[in-house]
Amino acid sequence: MEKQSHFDFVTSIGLMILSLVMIVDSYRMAIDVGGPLYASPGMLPMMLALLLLLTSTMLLRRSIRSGGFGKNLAGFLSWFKSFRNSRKAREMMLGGLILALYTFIMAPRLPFWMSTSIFMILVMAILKATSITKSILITALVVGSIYGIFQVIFHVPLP
Amino acid sequence: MDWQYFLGVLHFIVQPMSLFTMVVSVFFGLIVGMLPGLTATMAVALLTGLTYKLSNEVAILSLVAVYIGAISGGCQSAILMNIPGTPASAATAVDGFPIGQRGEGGLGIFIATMSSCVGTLTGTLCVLLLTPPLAVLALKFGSYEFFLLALFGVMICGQLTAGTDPLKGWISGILGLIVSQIGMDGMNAYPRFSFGVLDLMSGIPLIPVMIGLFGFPEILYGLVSSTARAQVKTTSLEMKKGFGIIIRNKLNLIRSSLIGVMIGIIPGVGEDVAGWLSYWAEKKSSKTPEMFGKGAYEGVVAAETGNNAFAVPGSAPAAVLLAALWLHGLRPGPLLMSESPGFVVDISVYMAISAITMVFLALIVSKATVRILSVKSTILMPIVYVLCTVGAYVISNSIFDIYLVFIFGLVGLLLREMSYPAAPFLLGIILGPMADNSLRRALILSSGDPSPFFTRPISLIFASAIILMALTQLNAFGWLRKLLVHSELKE
Repeated sequence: MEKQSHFDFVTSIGLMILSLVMIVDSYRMAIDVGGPLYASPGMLPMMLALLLLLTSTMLLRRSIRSGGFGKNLAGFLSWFKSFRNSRKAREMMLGGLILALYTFIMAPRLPFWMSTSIFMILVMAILKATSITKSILITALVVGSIYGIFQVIFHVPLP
Repeated sequence: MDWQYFLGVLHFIVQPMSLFTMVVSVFFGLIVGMLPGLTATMAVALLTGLTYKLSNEVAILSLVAVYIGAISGGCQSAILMNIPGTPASAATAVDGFPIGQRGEGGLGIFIATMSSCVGTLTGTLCVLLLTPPLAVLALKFGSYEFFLLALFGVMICGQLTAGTDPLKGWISGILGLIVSQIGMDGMNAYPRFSFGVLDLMSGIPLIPVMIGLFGFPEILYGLVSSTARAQVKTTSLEMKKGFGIIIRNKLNLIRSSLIGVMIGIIPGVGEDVAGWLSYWAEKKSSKTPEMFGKGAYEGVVAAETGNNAFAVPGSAPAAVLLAALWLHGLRPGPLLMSESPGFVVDISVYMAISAITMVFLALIVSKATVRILSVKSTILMPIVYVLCTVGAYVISNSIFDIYLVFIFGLVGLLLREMSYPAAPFLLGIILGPMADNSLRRALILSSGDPSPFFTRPISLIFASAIILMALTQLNAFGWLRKLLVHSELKE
């Protein structure tokens, strides 16, 4: 609960900022389009922003009640420091980085069979999932099946 | 019901070619639906291209069969991997995944499959017998009711999935509704929150968001050794126990079917709302509501029955199915009954027989699929991620959709780490466009006067339920009780 209180404190502030930005932007939409506010494209976004402001204020109030302003801030900073040095965080970062590499660099630039083969063999090798021969076999089976079904049978282009 | 049409369609369906097409299509739908990342929408879209060479009757049978198979397959990936195959299966995952994690994946699939079959059969029966009176009720839904129904759906989902903290569920739902506002609005074509990015102007597509929100955190946790879940020893289907659970839940089945049918007659409202409302109704009436979210069989029965007992499906896969029917010369809409008078009977029979076929095929296939939980996650998860990217890409052949899987995957990860449920976020994205158009249309009709939201009978029911839910969360009744006690003490 203590940890959740720190998170709630920080997220509620972030959400309040987001809702304020949205209120301003929704008002700008109403001015841009003209006509009454209730018919403008900013009507629902403004309502949602107000609801978000209300709910995040409730969350902030709850977190301050349970831990106080200073204690929440200090608690979050100390959690952040320990998270930065934790093994889980490092592993998550590495996992995320590999997935990002495949998503943003390899998939849009390389042919599907090449990007997917590199990605799968690389991940299984890094994680020591199985022997390299088995990794290559699994990769060939997966890539071949996807390629055969989508590209050959259904004529659907792959990334 | 016209028996002449009924006998005609039965005669057609017992032909060897028709039976073969139906079995193959249901099987194809099941396989696509159960593969994490590949969705029912994709299954129907993929098969549409292949049905051009078939006669219209066989093509339509094939499309309906693949739809039924894929929807059912979607619940398997929700139960085994917490990655719903359709947005409607998100409600199934709430209890289905914990059931799978305690080694009862086979039983979970059996219950879900049987419930979805019962739901489909009830839905089709209602379509055949009750279409005229239900249509009258559906016409009572105007813009006011649609807006409040969308709001009610998101609030219910938030309340159900956030455990003891509904506030977080509601925040998640509001964030989903906000994301749905990105892109050109439906009335003025004004680009909202697009920042000049062309891809954002067409809005945020649902499928990549769903895959990212649910699939990405599972994949990342699976890749990381310190968070990878243990290999689960799975049990068999346990059909005897499953039948016992289904029989014990007969009231749940009837109630959820009725909710599914009632929600299903409202045009444009998806199966997901029906699934969540059925789940909510069951939790409310349960003697052990605290077990919901921790692997309650009743939760799976309610969600699967509710989201399959649908008279008029309004989800993304159903929209693709309607488009495919249009390509085969049918014009879904008000003139359908006069142009193709046997259509409703044909579709109902196709759905009913496909649902029964689906049960047998699903049970055969799931003997193998439950073993997925015993595969090492470091081998399984890279494959799942590739399937997720392919599933997101092939719907509209857009690389941007792959980026969205990753971006909303990070959002899903953050939501989970901060204890916010992802399901209300997804439902918010689904219902956002309906809420936006309905709210503005309603206010334009009443020249900005909000009173019809509280004076029309159906609106009043929804508005009261929403206000009651919000007041309960704000502990307004607790304050009122304190105030009353205080004033009594004073007297």
